[in-house]
Amino acid sequence: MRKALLLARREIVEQYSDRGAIVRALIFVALPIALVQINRGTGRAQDGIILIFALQAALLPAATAINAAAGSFAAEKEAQTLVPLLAAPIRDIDIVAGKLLAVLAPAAGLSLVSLVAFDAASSAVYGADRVARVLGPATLYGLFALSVFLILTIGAWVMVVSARVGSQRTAQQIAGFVLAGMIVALSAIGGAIQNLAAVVVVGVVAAILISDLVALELARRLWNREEAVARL
Amino acid sequence: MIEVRDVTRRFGSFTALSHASFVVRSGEIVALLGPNGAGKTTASRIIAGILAPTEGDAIVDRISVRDDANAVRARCGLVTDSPALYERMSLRSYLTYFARMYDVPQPGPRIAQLVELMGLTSVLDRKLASFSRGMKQKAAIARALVHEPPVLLLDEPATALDPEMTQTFRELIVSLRAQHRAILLCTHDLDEAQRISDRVVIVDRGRIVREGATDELRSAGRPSFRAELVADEAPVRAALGTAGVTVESIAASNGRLEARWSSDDPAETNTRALRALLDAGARVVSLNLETRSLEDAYLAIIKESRQ
Repeated sequence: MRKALLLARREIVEQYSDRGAIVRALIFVALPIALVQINRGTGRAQDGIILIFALQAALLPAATAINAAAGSFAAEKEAQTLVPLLAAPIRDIDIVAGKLLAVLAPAAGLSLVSLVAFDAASSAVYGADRVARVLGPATLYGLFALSVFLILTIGAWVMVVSARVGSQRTAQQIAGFVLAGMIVALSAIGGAIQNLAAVVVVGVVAAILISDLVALELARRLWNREEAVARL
Repeated sequence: MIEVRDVTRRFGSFTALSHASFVVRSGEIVALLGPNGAGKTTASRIIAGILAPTEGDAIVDRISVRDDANAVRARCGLVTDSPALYERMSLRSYLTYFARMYDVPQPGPRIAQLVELMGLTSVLDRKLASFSRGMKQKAAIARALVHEPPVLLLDEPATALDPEMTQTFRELIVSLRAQHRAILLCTHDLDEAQRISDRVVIVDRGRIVREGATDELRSAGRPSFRAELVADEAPVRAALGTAGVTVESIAASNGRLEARWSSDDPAETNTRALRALLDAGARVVSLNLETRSLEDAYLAIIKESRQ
């Protein structure tokens, strides 16, 4: 596990040594605050709207995982830097775990920051008591957990795509379809929350979890050394 | 030490390597020669523990790649034709990263020693992206040596290096041999192989077609002789023909005549040839055994293997 952490740390530093990545991350943190500010005049915003904004604050940062995952795997294939990594005494499972962690940790961190920023901004605008009632601790934890599951889904599926394509650009293009799927899922969750259809919410969360499991198993199989080297 | 034992590797229906066996001893440089797609890279990746053999086994430092591929990886240093560096990292961070991957307990002193050896001390904290091609390849070599591996696998390592850098690189490889490392050099640069390798393994279409000491391979086949003469061509040709010498070529060069022949029994043939030449009035300036270049030997062996 130590080597997986070492690998993840290097990848995260690499991702954020690019100014564009930092700007994108800041946009995701600023977006929920902007939503609150835009709706400042509508002091009578419905509780459901606050919940949807909170959902967006928690889940939108998950989109940063697409770029990170596509860059992490396909770019490494493209630059041939996978060969020295595969030649090092590190287990296949540590490579996959380290790379997933490098996708998951920053996006999840961003999701947490974004959620906290939204909570603070909305408390200031809509009133702390009201926001505390709509976004209780259980709801906030639930939203954060949902974002982690979604990031895992994105990371694992983009890993699967990256294993099959030769370039980062292709991986990003195909990953765009993952993003489209994510938007559909978000809309479904948003709609379900608004209509208080708990069964639909549970159904969507269950679908995400199943997707996580399938994608992780596929990624594990595709990213063993034999497969990875054969496709270089 | 590397021992490749009857290794076969298939990718689907394609056989990249077929029943290959060879040995690289400690303190020895063995050149694995072959045309593109011959199976050199597959062989080096199997030895490095990256690819598993379909059949057979590779033993590195007494450890089987089948039994413990991770332990084999820990004992190998791999350099490929592309430096393959994380270019946003500084050289120091890059080498520290790989030192930790290879469980080097105190990376600092080892890295200092390596960068000094490579002449990279002054750029230790510079980003790898700013390095020249030669410097990048040196950084890749430093990465491969960071854990002091007993086995070094060099897969076309001098590709795209300028002549000066190639010379430096060659000296470095030779110095590593002196440290008792087993070095496998996969290349199609025959000049480089001829200069530094102790033995040569020639692979073609996944099969090993010849193995032996570099000098043995160069002198393999019928020995060939070159006589430098002061004479006219016609009487020389006639004299050698009468003496039963199979002449390969006669050509004028710098006002002298060069006659070439080969023989399985040089003592008998050369005596007859010299006697016939002297009787024909030719003056003999020199008679030498022709040594083939490794390139000639390689081309002949590849041609022979395809017939």
